[in-house]
Amino acid sequence: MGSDALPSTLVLGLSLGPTGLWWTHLLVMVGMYALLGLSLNLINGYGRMFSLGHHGFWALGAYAAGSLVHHAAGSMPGPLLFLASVVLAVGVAALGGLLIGVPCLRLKGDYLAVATLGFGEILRITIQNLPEGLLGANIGLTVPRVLLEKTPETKGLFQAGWAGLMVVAVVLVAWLVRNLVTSARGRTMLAVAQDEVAAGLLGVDPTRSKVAPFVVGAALAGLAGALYAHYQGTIAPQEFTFLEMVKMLLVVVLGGLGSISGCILAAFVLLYVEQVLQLAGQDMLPAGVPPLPASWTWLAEWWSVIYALVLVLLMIFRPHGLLGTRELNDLLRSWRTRRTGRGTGAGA
Amino acid sequence: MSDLHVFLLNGLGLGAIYAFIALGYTMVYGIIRLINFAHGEVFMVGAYIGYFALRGLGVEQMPLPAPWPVVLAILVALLLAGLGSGLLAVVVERLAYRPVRKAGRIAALLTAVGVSLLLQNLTLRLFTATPRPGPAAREWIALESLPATAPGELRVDRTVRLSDGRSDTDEVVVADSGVALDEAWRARLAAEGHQGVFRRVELTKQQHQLFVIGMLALFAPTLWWLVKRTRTGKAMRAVSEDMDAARLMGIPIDRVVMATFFLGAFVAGLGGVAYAATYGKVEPMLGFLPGMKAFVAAVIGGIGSIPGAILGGLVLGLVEALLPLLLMRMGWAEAFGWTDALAFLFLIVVLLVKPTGLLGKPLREKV
Amino acid sequence: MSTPLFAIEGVTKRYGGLTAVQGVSIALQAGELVGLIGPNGAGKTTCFNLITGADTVTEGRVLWQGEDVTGLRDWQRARLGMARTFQNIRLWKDMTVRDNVRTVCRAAAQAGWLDGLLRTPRHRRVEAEVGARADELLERLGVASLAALRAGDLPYGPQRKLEIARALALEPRLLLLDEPAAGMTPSEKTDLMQVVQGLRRDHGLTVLVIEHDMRFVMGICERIVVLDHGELIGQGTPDEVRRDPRVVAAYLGSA
Repeated sequence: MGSDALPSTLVLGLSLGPTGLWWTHLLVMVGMYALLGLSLNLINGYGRMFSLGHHGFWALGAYAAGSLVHHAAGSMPGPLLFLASVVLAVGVAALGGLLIGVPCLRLKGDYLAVATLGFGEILRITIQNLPEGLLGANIGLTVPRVLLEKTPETKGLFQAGWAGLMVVAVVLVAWLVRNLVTSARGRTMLAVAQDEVAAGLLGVDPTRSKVAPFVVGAALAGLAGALYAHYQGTIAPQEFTFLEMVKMLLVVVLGGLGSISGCILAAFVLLYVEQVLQLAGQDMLPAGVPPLPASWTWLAEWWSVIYALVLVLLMIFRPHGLLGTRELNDLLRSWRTRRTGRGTGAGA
Repeated sequence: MSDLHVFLLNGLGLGAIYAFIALGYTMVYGIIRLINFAHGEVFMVGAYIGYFALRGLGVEQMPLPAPWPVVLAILVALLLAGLGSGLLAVVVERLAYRPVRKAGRIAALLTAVGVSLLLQNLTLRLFTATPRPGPAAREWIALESLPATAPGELRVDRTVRLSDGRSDTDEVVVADSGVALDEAWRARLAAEGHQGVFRRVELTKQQHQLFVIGMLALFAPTLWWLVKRTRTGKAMRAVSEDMDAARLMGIPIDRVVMATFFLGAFVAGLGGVAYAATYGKVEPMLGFLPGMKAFVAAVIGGIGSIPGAILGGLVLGLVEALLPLLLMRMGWAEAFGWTDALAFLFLIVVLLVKPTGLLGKPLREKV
Repeated sequence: MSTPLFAIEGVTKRYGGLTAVQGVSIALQAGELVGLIGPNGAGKTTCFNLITGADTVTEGRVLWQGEDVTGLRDWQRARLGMARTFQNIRLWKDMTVRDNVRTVCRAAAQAGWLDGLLRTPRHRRVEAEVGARADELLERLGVASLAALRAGDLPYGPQRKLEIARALALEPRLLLLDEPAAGMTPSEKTDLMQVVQGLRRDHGLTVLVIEHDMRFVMGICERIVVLDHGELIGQGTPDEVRRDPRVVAAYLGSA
C-alpha cells in the first residue's frame, strides 16, 4: 500500500512548478485540498469510519490560527507568530478531535456520520453567532499577513512562495500519513477498521485505535486550516460549509480510499476542472491552460449543474476512484510489467 | 405563558412537516441503507409542483365565498405534488442509485449528494432564485363596498392584471402588500377604472399548522396499514430485514425498492406543499435545511423505523420551537439565533444516550 | 488441587427470553487440553464469548488464576493471556498474512503512536522484533510461504492455520479454538491434531477446543466437557464420556 507512495508524491509535486498567478493559486488550492483529503483519508479511508464533519476541524484550525494572528499581530516577529498560530491550530483541532471522537466513535456507521455532520454544522453556526469582535461572525475575520504582504508588487513572490510552502506541507503530511499507516499502531488501526470484534478479542483496545487516527486526522485538518487562513487573508463561516466537506469527500473517493498519491492526483484533477469550468465561459482562461472551444460559453452558466452531473456519473462509473487503493507507483510498475512481459506478477 | 400554545403549535406544525420528510429518509434507509441526500430536493420539487398546480388550476382567480373549488384545487395540487415527487424519486433511483448499490456506502452517499446538487442547480437555472410566494385564494371586494381601512389593513400589490371572470374588460388590482389603501388610493383606483380589488385570503400560520398536523394524523394510520397489511408493504419490510433472503423468496427487489422510493417521495411531496403554504415562499434552496433537519429527525427516532420517523420529526419540531424559548426565559437573549445548532446538539445528545435512536433497534453482532 | 488457570462458575447467559447457557461451571488446570462438545445450539460458542468477554454474563463469574475478571473487557482479558480463533474465520482480509500476525504481536506495544509517526530508532527496533516473531509463527504453522499474500485470498485450510498463528502471536496461556477443523479434509485434520499437540507442548499452552469431529476430539483431548441446551451434562476422559448414557442420548448416538 503506502510504502512506495513517497517518490511519486515528490515527482507529482515538483513537476507542477510553472509560474503565473493562476497556476500558483491553483497549486495552493490543490495543496489545500490534498492536505484535507489526506487527513480525511486517515479517518474515512484507512479507518473506515464515516465522518462527515471534517470541515469542522478545518474551520477550527483556520479560526484558531486566524484569531491569534488577528489579536496578536505585531506583538512578536512575523514568522514566529506564524509558527505559533500553526501550532495552536493543530492543537485546537486535535483537542476538538478528541472531544468529538471519544463520545461519538461509539456510534456505528451512518449514526457516526450524522453525529459528525451535526458537529460540523454546530461549529459553523457557533462561529456565525458569536459576537463580531471575537471571530468576525458572518462578516469574516481578517488575518493580517505576517510572513509577506500581498501587494501588487509582491503578488508574484507571494503566490510562488505559498505554492512552494504548500508543496512542502503536502509532502510532509503524506510522509506522516504513510508512516502512521505502515507502523505497528497503524496496523492496529487498520485491524480495528476491518473487524473490530476480532481485534478486541485479540488484545487491541478498539477505542484507542479509533480515536487516535481521528485525532491525528483532525490535527492535520487543523494544519490545513491554519495555512488557509494565512493564505486567504480573511476567513468567513460561509467558506466552511457542508459543500466543502463534500469536496473533500470527493477528493478522497476519487483518489481511492486509502491511496496517498491518488488523493493528491484527485485534488489536482478536481480543482483544475472546477477552476477551468468556472473561468471558461468568461473567457478568462490564463495563458498555459488549454482553451475550450469558443462555442462552449454556456459552460460557465451551467457549470454548477455540470459539476453535479459529473459527480454523479463519476460515482456510477468509477466508484472506487481513479486508482482504487493502489498507489501511482504500483500502477506504473504493473504497466511496465505488462509492456515488457516480465515481472513476478505480485502486487497491483 | 399565553404564547406557549402558539409555540407548541409551531413546534408540532414544523414537526409534522419534518415527519413527512423523515418518513422518506427512513423508508429508503431501511431498505437499502442509503442516506438519500437528495430527498430534501424531492421535497422542494413537490413544493414547486404544488405551486404550479395551484397557479394552473386558477386558484388565484377563484372567488370566495365558495370554498369548495379552492379545497378541491388544493387536494388536486397535493396529489399532483405527491405523484410528481414520487415519479422523480423513482427516476433518480433507477438512473443514479441502482448502479451504485453495490459500490459501498460512501460512493452511494456521494451519488446522492450529487443528485441533490444537480436538482438544486437545475431548478435554480430553470426557475431562477427568485422566491415565489405561494398562490392563495382571493376574495373579491367591490370598490364601493371596500370597508374603511386603516393604513396597513388592506393594501395594494404590484399590479397584476387578472380577469375576475365576471366581465372580461375589468382590470383589477390585487390587494396584497405594499401601500396602505387609504382615501387617496381609492380615488386613484376609481379614476383608473378599477371596479374592485382582490384580497388574498390566507389561512393564518396557526391554521396551516393545524392542517398539516391533521394531514399527518390522517396519513400515519394509512401508512401503517400500507406497510403492515398490503403485500407490497410486507415485501418492503422483508427486504429491509434481509435483502438476500427476500430475493431467494422470490420477492422482486428492484420493484420493491422503487415502490419504497415512490411512497417516501410522495409523502415528502405532500410535505413540500404544506411547507410552502405555511412558511411562505417557494425557492430552489427550499429543501436544503428542512431536508437536513428531517434527516436528523429520522435518526433521532431511529433510522429505519417508521414510527420512529414520525416521533423523531415531532420531537425535533418541538425541541426547535420550545428549547430556544426556554433558554430565553432563563436569560439567554439570543437563544433563537442558535436554534439550528441546538437541534444538532439535541441529536448528538440523543445518540449518546441511545446510539441507535429513540425507537431504533440495537445492532447485535454475532461473533 | 492447585488453582485452575481459568474457570467459569455458575455462568448463565440470557438473551431476552432465551437462555443460551444455564449454570455452567468449567475449570481448566494449566497445561490441559480439553474439548468442549455438544449438539448445535448447545451454547458452546456462547461459552467462548462469555469466557473471552465478547459477551457479558447474566449470572456467574469468570476467574483467571483465581482472580475475578468478570468485569474486564474483551481486550483486557486477551492481554491477560487468552486468545481465540473463530468459528467463522475473522481474519483481517485486506491485510497481508504477515500483517495479520504482526498486528497481534505483544512486542508491538512497546512502540507508541509518535514512534510510528516519526520513525524513531525505537520504532525500527520494535518492528524488527515483531517481524521476526511473526515469521517464526508463520513458519511453525506452515504458512510462511504465503506471508506476502492478502489474507482474504488464501484458501480455506491455510486461513484456519493463519488464525491459529495470529492467536499465538498474543503469547497466550490459554488458547481457545472454535471448530478449528471445520471444513478440513481428513489429512488436514490429522495434520492439525499434531500441530495443536505440538503447540501445547512447545508453548506450554492450555487449550480448550470446540469441535464436532469426534475423531479429532477423542484423539487429542485429555478431558471432555459436554453441553446440551445450555447445560453441562457430562465431563470426564474420552472413555468416560463415550460411555455416559446422558451424553450418548443427547449427542453421540451409538458411536
